[in-house]
Amino acid sequence: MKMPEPDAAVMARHAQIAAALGAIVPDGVIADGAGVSPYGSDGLVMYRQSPLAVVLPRTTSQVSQVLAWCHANGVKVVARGSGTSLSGGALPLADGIVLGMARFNRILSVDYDNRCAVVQPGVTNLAVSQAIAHKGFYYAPDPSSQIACSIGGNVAENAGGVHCLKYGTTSPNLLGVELVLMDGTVLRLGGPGQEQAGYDLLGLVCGSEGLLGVVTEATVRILPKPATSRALLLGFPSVADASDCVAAIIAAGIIPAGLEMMDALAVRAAEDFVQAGYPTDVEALMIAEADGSAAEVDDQLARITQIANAHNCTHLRASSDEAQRLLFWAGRKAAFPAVGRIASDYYCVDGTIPRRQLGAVLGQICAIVARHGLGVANVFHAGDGNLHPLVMYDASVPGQTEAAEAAGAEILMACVDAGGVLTGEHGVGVEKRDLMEHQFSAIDLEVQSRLKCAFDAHGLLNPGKLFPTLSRCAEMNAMHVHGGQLPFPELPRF
Amino acid sequence: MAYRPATAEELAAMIRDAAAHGRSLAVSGTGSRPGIGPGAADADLDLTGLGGSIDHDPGELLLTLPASTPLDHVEKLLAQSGQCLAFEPPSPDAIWGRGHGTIGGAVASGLSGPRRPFAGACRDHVLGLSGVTGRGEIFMAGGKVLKNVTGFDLPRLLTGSRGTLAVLTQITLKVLPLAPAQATLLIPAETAAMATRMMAGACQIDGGITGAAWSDGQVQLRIESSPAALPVLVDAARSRLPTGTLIEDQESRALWAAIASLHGHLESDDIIWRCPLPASRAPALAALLPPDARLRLDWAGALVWVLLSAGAADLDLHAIVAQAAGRDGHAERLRGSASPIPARAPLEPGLAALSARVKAQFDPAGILSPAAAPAGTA
Repeated sequence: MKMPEPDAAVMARHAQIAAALGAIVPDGVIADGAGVSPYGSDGLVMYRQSPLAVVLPRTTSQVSQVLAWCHANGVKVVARGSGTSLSGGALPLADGIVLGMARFNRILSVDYDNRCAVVQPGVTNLAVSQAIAHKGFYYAPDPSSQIACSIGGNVAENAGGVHCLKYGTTSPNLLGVELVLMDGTVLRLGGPGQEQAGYDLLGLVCGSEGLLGVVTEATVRILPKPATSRALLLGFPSVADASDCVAAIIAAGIIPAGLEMMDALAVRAAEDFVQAGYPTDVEALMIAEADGSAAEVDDQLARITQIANAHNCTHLRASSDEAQRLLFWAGRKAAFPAVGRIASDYYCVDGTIPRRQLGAVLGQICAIVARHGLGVANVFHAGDGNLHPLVMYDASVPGQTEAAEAAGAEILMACVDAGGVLTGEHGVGVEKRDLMEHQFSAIDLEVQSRLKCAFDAHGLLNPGKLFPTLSRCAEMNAMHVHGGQLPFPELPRF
Repeated sequence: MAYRPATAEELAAMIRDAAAHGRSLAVSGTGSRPGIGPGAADADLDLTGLGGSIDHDPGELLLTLPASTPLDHVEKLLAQSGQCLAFEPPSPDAIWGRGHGTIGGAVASGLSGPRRPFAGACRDHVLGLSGVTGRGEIFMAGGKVLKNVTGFDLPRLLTGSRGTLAVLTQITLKVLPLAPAQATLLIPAETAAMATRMMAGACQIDGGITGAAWSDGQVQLRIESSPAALPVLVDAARSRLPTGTLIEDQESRALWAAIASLHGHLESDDIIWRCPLPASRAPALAALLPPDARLRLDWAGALVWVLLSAGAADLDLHAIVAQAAGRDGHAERLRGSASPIPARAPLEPGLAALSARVKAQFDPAGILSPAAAPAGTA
């Protein structure tokens, strides 16, 4: 993966940069090699790069001053929440600083009448729900990393979770942000209301992977907790039966709160790890969750049971209490580390496909991985067609890391070819950057990347992520694209 | 002068031609939303000739269709499969009397109906789209799957952009099952303050509520569910709320269609102001209005309609909303008077500057519906 060529002149000013930023954020700059090392990587552990310095601001004013200084001095900035990105979204640059938002760790206010909470971006996803649980409320998006991942990172990646089918990813649950632009301008987009005036810049910023601005405050929608939640464990003799069952549930007009699937390898790994009570003699296991009033839940689970039975379901168990429901989920949410116990290393892939293509794409995934001499366990957000093949490899064996990456890229291209997309919830980051042209035409990408010029004309915020080519804002207004051919085809890819 | 393209390629060529000559275009479908429409321009760009096939895939919860598809046609098509657009696009007919418009107009206007606080806004249901930029480039954005974070979220940005950034030609929407059973509780509440308090209380409990509105001294609470669960939910709600009456099924559906579109709420010459703000600020807004202003609350109070009789003086709702809700609310006059009060207030300067830069990236010549761009960006 090629990153933008580091600017030697900027790197030579390392000490001056650290001193200038230290004047803005006293006690908040780390500039020594050992100190910055822990920030060198995020959840995409294949990549590592130490930044010039790490800056840990406490206030919006400090963020604004740091960005304005970097803007004036041509220093690149990579914002970082908890560093759990699986697509390398927070991978540092050798000639840039990391802006760590961990000190923005307070829940500022909770407004039950308007059903929203104002939180700082370093607050973890789970902490929001925990802080409002006593009032019977929660925050719906629940990525599997929710004990660690931050709200700021969730906003940057438009993070999902296992309840997205019914409750949506971060974006529909985000009402407002305070955003600092690269030049230091502080803006408020949205707020505690339900609609903003003018363009939906909030919608654009959510999921923009740290390329457009730094979020210093988020207003999130909170929901009353469902009166009841119950889950069914459903075992099937084949993935095809399970996939058909998912389609039949949706076709019956049911939108379950969660509809997850794991293949045999993932089921066994999770069961060995968590002892969730999963049947280990099935080829596919589904978790179907219903929530709402007891009457609704009973009704929905009865209908799902009926549909499952018509699709050769061999194991069926309903959670008998909250502890058991959470245990059912514990296995699923620990599927990644569980696979980590049976493989030296694993590479989590994230693509979305039209659900009906599940069987065909799974076949392709197995063939691709086998061709690279590797193994795979599959975990899916089955309700919305979001796949997470976990490609197993051994980084200590020469060539296997590259093989795993190549297999991942081929899997994602297969998702796109099946009518799907490169990423359902993990983001493009560095990981899928060079695959973007497989999904989008040159013009499609141009229309998107021009927006970078409206927010950050010098390309200093998280460059090298998301788009395969640098935006040249100065030239862009005069640029014309002919027949799908970008001008300057000789421009280096980074 | 009028352009009427039949294909996206023709459309792109016409836009390039207009851009080259600095000729502004009034982008419109059937012209059903004149109050928030393109306004004056050098030429009309009539999109009703842009056809295409409709692909409704109920099992995938997806609907892809040409932007020119009539909105009432979309709703009938979905109803045949027991599905709906969950954001309940309001029909513009009651307000402007020029028909129900197109799905392209519904997405370009970005307006959401009563289910907005419970099922998401219009922008949350637009998964993908194709269109032509103000530079005359044909592009697509988003995708045809339910869950997608690949690239910048142009579907959300373009929803509600009123044809000022790009001209939409095709749209992919998330469609959801229509709840098979519904009922509405009608509960007396004399003032906006009492109504807002009652609706906030009702929405703090998970009880299947998908609509909370107030008009004519009466709170309306819609509950949707399966036929088996609905009576239980209704009983639970009744046990927590003051005594009211219940309407069901068709009667309830008709009520909410009227709440969404203001059908039956309007005198023919009313001035109509639409004011989104935090629900808890609705009583403050109500308290600032003169007694002859008629109020309708939707979104549990987070959307306030202010209706003024044609004979009454227009009000500066921008100033009144600002007084009631600070920066957290805004107002737009959808219909009415030749009053000197502008229909929209300028965005605050930083936001206006950023919005203008965004506009310039899509439409550097500034030819797409210039009068409809966010106030303060020109």
